[in-house]
Amino acid sequence: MEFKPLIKKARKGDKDALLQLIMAQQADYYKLAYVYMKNKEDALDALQDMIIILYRNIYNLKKEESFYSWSKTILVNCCKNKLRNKNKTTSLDQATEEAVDGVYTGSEDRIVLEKHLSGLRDIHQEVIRLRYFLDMEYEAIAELLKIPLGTVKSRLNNGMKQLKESFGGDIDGE
Amino acid sequence: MANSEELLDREKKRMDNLAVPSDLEERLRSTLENIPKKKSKFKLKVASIILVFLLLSYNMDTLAYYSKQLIGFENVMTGTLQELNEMGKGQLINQSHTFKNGVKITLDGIMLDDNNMVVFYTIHSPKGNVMDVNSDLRVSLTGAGDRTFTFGGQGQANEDLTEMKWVVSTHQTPRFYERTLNFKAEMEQARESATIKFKLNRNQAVGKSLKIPINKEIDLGRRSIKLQSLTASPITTVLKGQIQDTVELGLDYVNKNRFRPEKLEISLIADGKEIDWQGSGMSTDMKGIHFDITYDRLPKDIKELQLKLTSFGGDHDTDELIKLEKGKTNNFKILDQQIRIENVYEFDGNTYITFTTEENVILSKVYLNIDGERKNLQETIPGEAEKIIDDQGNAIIYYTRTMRFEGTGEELELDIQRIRYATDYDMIIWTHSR
Repeated sequence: MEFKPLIKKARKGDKDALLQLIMAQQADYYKLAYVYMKNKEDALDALQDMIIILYRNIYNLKKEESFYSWSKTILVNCCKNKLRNKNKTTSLDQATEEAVDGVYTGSEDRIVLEKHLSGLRDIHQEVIRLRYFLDMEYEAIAELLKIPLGTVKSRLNNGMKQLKESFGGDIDGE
Repeated sequence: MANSEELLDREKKRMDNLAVPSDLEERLRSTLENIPKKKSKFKLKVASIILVFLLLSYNMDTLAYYSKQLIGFENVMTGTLQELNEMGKGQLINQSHTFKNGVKITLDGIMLDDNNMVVFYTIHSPKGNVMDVNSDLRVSLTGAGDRTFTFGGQGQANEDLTEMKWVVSTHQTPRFYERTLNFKAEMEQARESATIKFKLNRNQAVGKSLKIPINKEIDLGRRSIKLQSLTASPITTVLKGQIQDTVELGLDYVNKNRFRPEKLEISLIADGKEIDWQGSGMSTDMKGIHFDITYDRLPKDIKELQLKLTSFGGDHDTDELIKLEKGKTNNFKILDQQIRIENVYEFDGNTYITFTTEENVILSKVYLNIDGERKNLQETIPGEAEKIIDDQGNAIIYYTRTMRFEGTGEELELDIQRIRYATDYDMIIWTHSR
């Protein structure tokens, strides 16, 4: 698909063109939002926030070819803003470990993993989720988070070390 | 216990399979539509010229048209489609692709109107394993800019399993500028895919639709339903409306008093006869919650149309803390829903709570605080259902089941954060006669 004509249209304020650009990579956007928000409703909310910012600022976009990395960075920021607001009222634990009457939906694996992950600092969790859940390359993570490549690597190393230690503790306890 | 790598890997697999919600596009679209458009005089001029041009060419397309009929789909078609097909309505496509293993997929034809696009296709497998082929085959439909159409439908295989006919109907209709659509079939295991491009011929669209504006609000206490319009096309009839909070939606979020509607059942009745229900959908945006319900086509020459509300419900935020004592019963109401704690007991390091509600009530988010520590629900063990006839002669079904939480303690507090229920109605909410 040829994106450039669509980006040109979107920059002129064409809402349909902007929507088409997003929908062309809908799975990437949704999964990125989901990795941060951890549930469908909040992920969709974050995407809605994103598209408003994109529409209002796309005329500022300098390089057309960087539309996708630019918009995904905005999405990550929207997610972080939402999480910050959410954490004011509930802790992350409560948001993720939702127990459902009737059908028990949360798989045990996921709950165990989330428990250990949420014990890490946000900056460490973030790179682990992007690298392991979304299979993103180091360079792509650096581009997305606007941090140097070396920082991505060191955060990932430190994060994984701590995660393993966290798991190690559990095994000792059994 | 699994190690961290294994769990990360499992989570990755889960993410790989995570489906994009079908309402994503609709939600983004309505968000965009609510942003005021930037104005520019120059653009306005260009736009008006294009618009005139498009309107002209669009109108020329709407002439009625008859073509040949599709053969072999009789068993899969619903009554309406069958009739339209016999009348020769629709657009024949008849394009095929043969995969390396001999499997052939044919896009036979489409029918199009203002509510729907119905797509007819056939999978041919000379080896007589069409059911296996079908489960390995992923079919998708895209329009301009890779816009994906979601669809649902049914298929039927022939006796010797060499052929399977599918009739699917999309949830969105092509926009007026979408003239070329792509029908893509992908053999997952063989990693082979084929795309059949076809041009929409709007002059073969099955016919005109009639849109009846309703614009009526129905007050249901805490919420109201706004019926917007009913569009009767030759294929289907679609009711559109909104669910509104009597309080502003924004305020609800702040108060943590959210309501997520999940069930809305409205019957469409034409001259006293119920029209078959085909499907429904909901989407949320800043203005509220939109719904659409699809019914079968309306019969000819009807005198009276009615809409009857039969059920409405969803997931409500509650935030209720209920103190429990082992071995004691307890009776309380949350949002007018009766909840009866029948028994609280310990067994094998777990705490069990047996309780009864009306059948359609579910505690959708619940924890147990044991000595101040929050415990997740581990499972719900099914129990007995009991039918009781009340004073007015209505049958009510009560359902008793048991929740299990890990751990035991003295101070027990049930933390009910969300409750899901539906209320049954039998209420004519709109009548239209001519």
